[in-house]
This record gives sequence, C-alpha cells and structure tokens, in this order.
Amino acid sequence: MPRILAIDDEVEFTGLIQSYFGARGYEVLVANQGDEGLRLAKKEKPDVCLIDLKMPGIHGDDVLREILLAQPKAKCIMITASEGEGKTRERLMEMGAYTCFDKPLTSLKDLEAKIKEAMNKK
Amino acid sequence: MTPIGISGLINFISSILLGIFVLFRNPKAPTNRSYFYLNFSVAFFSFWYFFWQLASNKGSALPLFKLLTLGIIFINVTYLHFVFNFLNIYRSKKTFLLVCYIINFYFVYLDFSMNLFSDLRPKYGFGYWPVATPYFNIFLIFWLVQCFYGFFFLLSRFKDTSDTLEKKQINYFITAAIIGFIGGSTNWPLWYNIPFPPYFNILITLYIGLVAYAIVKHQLMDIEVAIKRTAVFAGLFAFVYGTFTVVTIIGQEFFKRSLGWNQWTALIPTVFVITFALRPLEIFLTNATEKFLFQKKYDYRVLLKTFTNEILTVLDLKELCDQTVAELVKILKLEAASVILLDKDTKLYKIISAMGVKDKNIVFKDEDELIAFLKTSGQPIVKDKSVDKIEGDGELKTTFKQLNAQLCLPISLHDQLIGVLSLGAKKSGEEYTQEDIDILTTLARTEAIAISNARLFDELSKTQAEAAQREKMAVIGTLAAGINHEICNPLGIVRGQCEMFLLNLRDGIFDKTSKDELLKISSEVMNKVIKETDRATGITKRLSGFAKPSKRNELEEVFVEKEVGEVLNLIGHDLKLSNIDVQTDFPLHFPPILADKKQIQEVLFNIIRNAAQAMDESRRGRILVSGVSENGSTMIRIADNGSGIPPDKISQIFNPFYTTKAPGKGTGLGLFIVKQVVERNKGVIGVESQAGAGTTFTLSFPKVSELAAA
Repeated sequence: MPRILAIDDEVEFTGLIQSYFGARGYEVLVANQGDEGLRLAKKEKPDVCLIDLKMPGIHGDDVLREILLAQPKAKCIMITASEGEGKTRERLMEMGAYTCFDKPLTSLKDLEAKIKEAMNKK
Repeated sequence: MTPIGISGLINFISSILLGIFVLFRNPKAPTNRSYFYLNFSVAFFSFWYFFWQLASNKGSALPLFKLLTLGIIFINVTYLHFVFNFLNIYRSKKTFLLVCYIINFYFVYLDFSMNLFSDLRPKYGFGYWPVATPYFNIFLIFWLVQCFYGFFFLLSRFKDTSDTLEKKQINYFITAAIIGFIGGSTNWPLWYNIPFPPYFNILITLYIGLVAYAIVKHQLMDIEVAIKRTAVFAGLFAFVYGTFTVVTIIGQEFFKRSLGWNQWTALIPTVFVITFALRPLEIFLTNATEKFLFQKKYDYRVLLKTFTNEILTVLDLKELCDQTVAELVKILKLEAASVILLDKDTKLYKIISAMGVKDKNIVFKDEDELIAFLKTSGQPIVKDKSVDKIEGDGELKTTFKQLNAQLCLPISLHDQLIGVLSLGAKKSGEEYTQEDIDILTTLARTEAIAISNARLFDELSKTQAEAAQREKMAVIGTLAAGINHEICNPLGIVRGQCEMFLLNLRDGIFDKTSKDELLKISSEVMNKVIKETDRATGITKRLSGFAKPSKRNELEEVFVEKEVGEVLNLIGHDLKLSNIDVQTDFPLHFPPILADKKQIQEVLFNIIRNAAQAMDESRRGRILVSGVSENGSTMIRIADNGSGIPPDKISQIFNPFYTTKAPGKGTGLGLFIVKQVVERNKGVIGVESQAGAGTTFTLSFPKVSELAAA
C-alpha cells in the first residue's frame, strides 16, 4: 500500500488529506508538528512526504533538509503559501523538493496525480 | 495795512520757510543751496514790500523801496542759478551766470543811486510807487531775458527727457514759476502809471505751494519729505502768530471800548486761547498731515504688520505668493504685482502669482537681462531710473512692460536668486522713493526666508507622507502572514472538502455507502465548510475592524485583555512562525480603561510587533502581556526578552523618524505614533530596558472611576 506522510500544523488540512487519500487506498500518516513529522519520516520511510513550509517550531524547509539527509531519494512535495512564490519555489527545488504546491490547494486531483507520478519514479 | 501789503507778508513767510526747509534738507547740494538763494531773494523782496506798504510818507517809503528792489534784482539771476543746478548744466553755464550776477550788481548800484527810478509818488491809493527811468527799462528787459532763458532750458529738458519722474518735476516747477512770475509781474504796471494794481502778488505764495507739493509728491530736488514736523511747526507758528494778531487786534478794540482795558490787559485772553488750543491743534495737524500727505507712511506700517503677522507664516507656497501679491496691491495701491520664482527642476523663473499682468505664462531664463542683472547686482531695478541706464537692446524695457512693472526686487537667499518681486506703478502716480525701495528690499529678503520655509515644509510633508505610507505597508506586511493563514487555509479546507466529496462521488467511493451514511458524510462536509467559512469571516471582520480608522476619540470602556486577544488573533500565527511565545497574565475582573478601543488595539499591535522584531533569532522569544491595577491607575505591561535598547538610545525611541533598523526597513514612526495615541487617551507610556536582556513597556491609564470623578 503506498504510504503518504502529511506534515502540517493545520489539523483540518491533514484530516482532509487523510480522508481523501485514505478512501483511495493510500496509507496516510499525519504529523501536526515538524519534529513529529521528521521522526515519522525517518521511522516509516513513506513513499511521499507532503510538507507544509510554514509551521511553528521546526520550519518546513528544515524538515525537508533533514528528511533528504536521511533519505536522499525521498520524494517531498512542499506546500507553500503564495507569497514569495518564485524565489521560494526555486530555493526548495534546489534543496531537493520534488515539487511545490500552493496553498490553498486548488485541486486535490492534481495533487493526487503528482503523488502518483512521484511514487512511480525511482 | 493794505491787502497787497499782507500779500507781501504771506509771501515772505512762505518763501523763507520753504527756502530754509530745502536748504536744511541737504545744505551741501548745489540745487538746494541755489533754491534757497532764489527763495531768499523772494523773501527779501516780500519782506520789504510789506513794510513799504505800511509807509505813511515818501521819506519812509524810499529806503524800503530800494531794499525791495534789491530783492527784485536778484530774483531772476538766482532763478537762473537754480535752473542750471536743477538741470545739471551749471558747469557749462557758470560763466554766463557770473556775467548775469555782475550785471545785476550794477543794477543794484543803479537802484541805490536813484537811477532805476527817479521818484516815489502815491498811486491809486496803493502807497508810494516809483517813476521808472530809462535804466529801469533796460533792467526790465534784462530781467525778462533771464526769466525766459530759464524757461527755455526747462522746456527743452521737459521735451527731451524720457524719465517720467524728471518730467513731472519739471512740469510742476515750470507751472509754479510761471504763476510766481505772473504774480510778481503784476507789480510792473504801476511803475508805468498803468492803473493795474498788483492784486496777484499773492500768487507768489501759490508758486511756493506748488513747489512744496512737487517736493512732497515727486521728490523735487530729491527731497523725500519728513514734512510732518515742519508742517506741524508751520501750522502752529501760523496759528500762534495769526491768533495772536487777530485776537490782539480784535480783543484790544473790544476790551478798550467796552471795558476800558489797556492793550496789555487785552493780551490776557489771547494767552488763554493759545494755551488751551495749542495741544489739540498740534494733534489735529499731525493727524491731518499723516492722513492726507503721508498716507504712504501710514500704509507701510500696515504693510509691515500684515506681512509679519499674517503672510510670512504661511507654509503653503502658492498661498504665500498669492497673499503677498494681494496685500502688496491692496496696501501700496498698485496697478500690478507678481511673484516670480525659480523652478529647480526646469531652471526657469516662472510667475507663481500675479495681479495686473496680462500674460502670466512668461518664463525667464538665467541669461535673460532681468535675471542676469538682478543676479549680478543684487539690487532692485526701478524702471525710470535704472532701466535707461542699464545697457542692453531694450530687452529690459520689454520685460518691464510685459510685467507691467515699475520696480523689480531680487528675492535672494544665501546669495542665490530664488525669485523676483515685481511691483507695478502706484495708482496715485507717486514714484517709488528711496525709502519705499529700502522697505520693500527688506520685505523681499524676509519673503525669501518665508518661501524657503514653505518649500522645506512641503518637502517635509512629502517625506512624512512617504514614511507614514511605509509604516502602513509595514503593518500590512506584519498582518500578511496572519491573513494568509487565517483566510487562505480555511478557504483551502472548504474547497478541499467540497472537491473531495464530489470526487468521491464520481470515483464511486460512495457506491457501497448507504443513504444514511451518505447523508452523514455530506452533513460532516457541510459543517466543516461552515466552520471554516466562519473562521475566514472572523479574521476578515477582525482585520476590517482593525483597519477602519476610528472616529475622533470614541471613548468607551475598553477591556484590555480582550483587545490583546484580538491583536494576537491577527498576528499570533506570525509570532508562532517566528518561534515567539506570547503569554497574557491579567487578573480576574481586570478593570477596564476609558479609551478609544481601536486606538488601544493599534497601540498593543505596534508594541507587540516591535517586541517581535527585536527578538534574537538564536533563542526562543517570549512576550508577556500583563495587567496590574495600583495607585489609582490601570497599568498594562508588555515585556519581551529581546535585544533590549542601549541606555544612550532609550530617550530617543519615541522621537519621530527615529529607528535603529537599516535604512528602508524601519520608518521610525511606530513608537512615535504609540506615544501620541496613549497620551491622546489620557495615558502615559514608560519604558525600561536592558541591552541584551529585554524591554518592558508600561502603559498607565487612569482608573475609570477616577476619570468619572474628574
């Protein structure tokens, strides 16, 4: 069963991801804090990580960096706020993020497609 | 005493007074001296004329007549002497004049040796008149030649000169001289037994009057009049003399006949009249001369007062220039006036404000003659005096015509010509005197300072406006993270939930779900949509409430702990992202303060934001907002563990535009505004800080009960 780890301080968002992808046969792990997400990522080794960039405590880009240090081939999709779009996106891609999605999400289908694509890539 | 005798007395008084006045104005000036000689000759003639008319027999009349004739002999040569000096041609006419004096001295000899007239005889009841000899005929011809020779030069100059002032002066003097000569010449007929009495002898005083008028109005002989005291003195003198004479004559007759008083006792009423009437008359004459002759001096006091109190303090440049022009035209009674200023961007001098000028779009460049001259000389230009003398191709004359100007003054600051004050002709026709120019030059200098102040104020206002705008942007920037989180996230959830439900429906995930189960799922979705929508609405309302400007000081009971909560709702997320913990500590039933709620929110927002910006990123930031009620005050403390404020800077933090942030990062207005707002709400703000440890702001407000009692 493909495994997704959703790391976001917004409980409703992680609940949405869990409901949607859970209904479609994915195992969805949820963390509402950065450090909890990091721990789960290292332990469970999910196929794709969904990481919110702006979180209290450890920031999303630090979480990305740590995950990639531990698992260089990990597929991390960053969820970014729309401000600072261009440069932030560029920076995250350079850090090794698979792709970035803006908040608020405009399409769960697009996200699903991207997650499938990431999972199919080795 | 005959009327013509009295005319002699009046002629004497007026001519000697004016002669002395002119001499004392400038004893070194040849024009003034020669005018004095002329008037002295007239006075000498008139003096003896008066006594000659009193003579009761030929024996007493003869020496008096010889003396008055001596006066007559020198009138015309001194007249010529004055004309040559007045027209500045004395040097070239010196020899001719000397010859005239020599000839006239010969006539003096003839006068005293009884060769100008052979005898004195009573004629037509007008006293003892001479019998003319052939020598007198020669004298009369010579006298007339001198007279017309002088007129010839005056008329020539009148025709040739383009100087308006000089033209006016000559015009008046010619008119006065003609009147004087006609008046005096009415004495000649009786020499030849022509029964035409010299009733017009009094016209000599009119000549004196006209010359005096020309001095007052048109600075004849370059005399600017301080005639006030002289007129008052002359008036008093005439009053005393006249009153003394009249009252003595009448009084003596009256008291002698009715009471049998002698002439000395009859003087007593005169003394009383003079004693009580002298002071009121002095005041009357002073006010009358001021009003009618010296209106301009009175107006200059008004001008200076108006400028000092009203105009020079105006900080709006256009308004300053408009008022300057309007007041100058009004007070000085001008036909036109304009203020021309340098535009720093285009380097052109443009009319900012004008009255009585047809084309207000005229511009001047540095190389234009008006500007070039004012820059070089720094001196005013008077149309009739200076323009003709300034070399050029007539450009300056054209410029003056375009500006309808009579006088142009430089407006200079720090030796830089920043503008021109152009003044048109006075409606009264008076010329600008040197005193006018001195006063207006001083005015132009102060105008320069006022213009500079207005420009600086304008720049300062723009700077302040820019800073205030940056402050607004800074506030919006602070709120942006919170806005994004609190609005975009809920919207994202709303969309996501709806999309998920529809996709689940489409993908057949609900195929095996019962109707009841489906209804339950859809209810859950609806509830989440409502909840998230309310969340977004809440933040929007809070933001709207925060952003709306408060109506002027709407005072109400403000529960500070609640307002702290509102502010944290706005920026709490941003603080969380920055790893800053915010805690509040308010006792139960913390008393409210009487203040404007929105303004208090603004204060709390600014201080908390400042505290967040002061945090050291290397450690976890903490902000504690607490309340305490003591000593009749309600106090709110906002304490942080940021970088603190150095002791040498702490006294400046409430100053406008003071900031420790990098240029462009801080506006320096945040705490300045905070202090203003706190004080406006009857509060006091204090600050304690330790560099490296943190800062505590304390806001003290009077207790509501204390305020109510007050």
